Amino acid sequence: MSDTESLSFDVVVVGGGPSGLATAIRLKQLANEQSLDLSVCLLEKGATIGAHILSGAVIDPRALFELFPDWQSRGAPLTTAATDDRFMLLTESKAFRMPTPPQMENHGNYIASLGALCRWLGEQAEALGVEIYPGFPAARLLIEGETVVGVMTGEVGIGRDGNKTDQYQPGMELRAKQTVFAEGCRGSLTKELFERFPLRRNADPQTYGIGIKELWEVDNPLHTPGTVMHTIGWPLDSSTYGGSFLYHLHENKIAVGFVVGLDYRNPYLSPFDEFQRFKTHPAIRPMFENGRRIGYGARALSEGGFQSIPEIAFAGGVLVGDGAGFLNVPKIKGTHTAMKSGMIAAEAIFDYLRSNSEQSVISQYPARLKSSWIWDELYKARNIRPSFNFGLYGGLLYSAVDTYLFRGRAPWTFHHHADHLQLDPKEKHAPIAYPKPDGIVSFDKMSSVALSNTNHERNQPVHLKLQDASVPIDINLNLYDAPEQRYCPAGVYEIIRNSESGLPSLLINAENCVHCKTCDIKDPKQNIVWTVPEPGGGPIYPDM
Amino acid sequence: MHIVVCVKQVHDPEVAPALFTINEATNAVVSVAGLAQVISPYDEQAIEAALRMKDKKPDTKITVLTIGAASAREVLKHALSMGADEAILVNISAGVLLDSYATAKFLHEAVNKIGSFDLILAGRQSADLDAGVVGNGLAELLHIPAITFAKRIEVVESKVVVDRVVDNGSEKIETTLPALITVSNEIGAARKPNLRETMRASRKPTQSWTQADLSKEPMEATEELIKLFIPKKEKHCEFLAGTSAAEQASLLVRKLRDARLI
Repeated sequence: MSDTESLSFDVVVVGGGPSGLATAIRLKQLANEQSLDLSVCLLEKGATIGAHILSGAVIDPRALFELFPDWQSRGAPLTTAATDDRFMLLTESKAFRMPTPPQMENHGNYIASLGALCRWLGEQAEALGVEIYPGFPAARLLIEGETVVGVMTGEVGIGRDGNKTDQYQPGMELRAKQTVFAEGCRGSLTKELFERFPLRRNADPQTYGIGIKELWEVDNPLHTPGTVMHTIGWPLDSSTYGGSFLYHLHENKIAVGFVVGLDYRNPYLSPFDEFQRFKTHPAIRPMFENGRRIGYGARALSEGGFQSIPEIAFAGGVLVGDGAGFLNVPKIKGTHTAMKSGMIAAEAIFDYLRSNSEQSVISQYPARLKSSWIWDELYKARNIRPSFNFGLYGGLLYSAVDTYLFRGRAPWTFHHHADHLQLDPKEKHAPIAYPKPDGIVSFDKMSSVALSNTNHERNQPVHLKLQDASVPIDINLNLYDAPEQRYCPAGVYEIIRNSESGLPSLLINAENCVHCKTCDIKDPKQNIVWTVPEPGGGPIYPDM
Repeated sequence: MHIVVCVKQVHDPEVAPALFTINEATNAVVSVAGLAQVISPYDEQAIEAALRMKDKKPDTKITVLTIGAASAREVLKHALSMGADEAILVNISAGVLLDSYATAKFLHEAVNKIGSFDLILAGRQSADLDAGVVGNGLAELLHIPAITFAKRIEVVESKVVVDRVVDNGSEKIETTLPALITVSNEIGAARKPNLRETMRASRKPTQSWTQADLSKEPMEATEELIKLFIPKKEKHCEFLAGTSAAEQASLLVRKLRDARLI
């Protein structure tokens, strides 16, 4: 350890998404207001702020208003006001308009690119004095005794064989009085913290979804900026939770995507192919027929809500944003809660650091979070997602009762189950025959991944680590027909057969990984562990 | 020793082509919103070449120089994060198209303002226009020797020895300093920015000059870009009729003859 470089800050923030940036901004706002010297360093694994950010997104500006009351005059990129909500139920050939549930009414919200918002937040943060270092992932926790004392950045130049290359650069220790983990859904260090401190001991298992998104440029009279459309139903069966979003932005852009709950049971299901098939629906297809696809990407999201919130403060650090799981599922929004959680954490950390300097548990953070609007919002929404365990129609019916009759205050709470335990053996299902992509509105995986501009240094150890090399064939292939081939939206996992012996093996095309984290979540034996690759790797999303 | 490295900001050549269009009115390449531009990879390797010399002789000073819009500060920051010492932006308004000659003239004025130098490095060509003219043009204006396509550079006292890539191998050339060398990709991968240098980068001296700081003469392009376009690729696929391989082969021969391909 002696030759490791080490630097100290007051606060280190891991992750440059909305929650991490809001934390850093709020910390510096408070420090600057009170003329206190507070060093805040923010690490981001993407090559630039926003490069790994992907969301729908319809954004509720509530937290942004609180962070920057003058955000509009500062030029925050929320410019397309949501004006029209449509909630549709699809069957194979028809689309039925349904009443928009109150949580999904978007008056006052904005259709936006979360990547663009994060870039803007990054500029604001830098102007306030936050030191932002994109392209430097936090790869390891620094723990002394039972206290988190910082993180270690990733090494550069370890070859595929595990040996140092001539490009080798060691990681650097970044020490902090408080380390803020803002890694987003299924953060790799956050996951270690869950186990190390057992932060999840009193929480339900987290349940997740995978969101796959495309950005389109259309020249089409059907394009009406401000329109927000969500669909449920086809092409998913009624026992699988999920649906589409389709948002009309200014400048002829459409953000379209599909979310599938990762508690799905059929191992033959492919979220990517469901999404491609969705676009071929007669009510959807005309929107894209003359368009041009300019972006593709995917990201897992936390859907557990209230019941699944872990302990969020521990000695030396806190969790903020979707890494902790503050997404509001019926609202289909998490940016406002992510930002707000970061702001509350920042205020609690700031108050603590004014009078103390040792690493400790910031107990004021969970206390204040529980008396904030996040808690109230998530409490009321808590039974909606798990009610879809009754199937699509049972869930819809229950949700209506819960929302209109109990107003979110039903005297019971449904519980979640771990997604990786939900897959059925392949014998219980028949393979799904997905239609071939037409190259006009639907595409294959490889041409899609190309649009994510994903790149990783080839000569590095595979960052998707198998704990047991026999599981992919002995369990995953034999019992579930290797579902990783289908749930991975980037074609990372491939079963190949030896040309002579015919024996199968799992090929991991780690270079394709878009950092969505789905494999880490859905692998039935939790055998795949997502770790950060060499600095700079991953997608380069344009305004996604 | 003082090395000046000339770098250019370009659209990321690694990004999917579908993310770019051409504005026919301005003949400019337009990327979808939100994509960051990057340092031209050959120029990045020129910085690497300079850093390798600095690794051997730590008292070497590396100044990076670019001409571009305000966004070009990002490539300077990248160079400083790799380990360069100082940076200069010659700031021109976004959308001004400079041809190779105007660029070389601009750089000439900037290098004169910098004053003393021992070596100028640049990438063999830019990754967007691929002309490969600016380096030689600058050397010509400075009246110094130019060596192109370097894959290895060694400074020995007041001389520089360069292994230069040629069609069937390489040649070794020696010249006196000061000189200009363009660097080829064979020099090897550029190092990644490291965190320590990146943290220092914001405190390293960075200057921003405008044309008025350099010369009273307008620096206008002497060439005019008439039309920039993406060629349309058309594919036709035809299945050969015929039931046997021999029949299909003779059909194929006939078709190729008709198309005057054989």
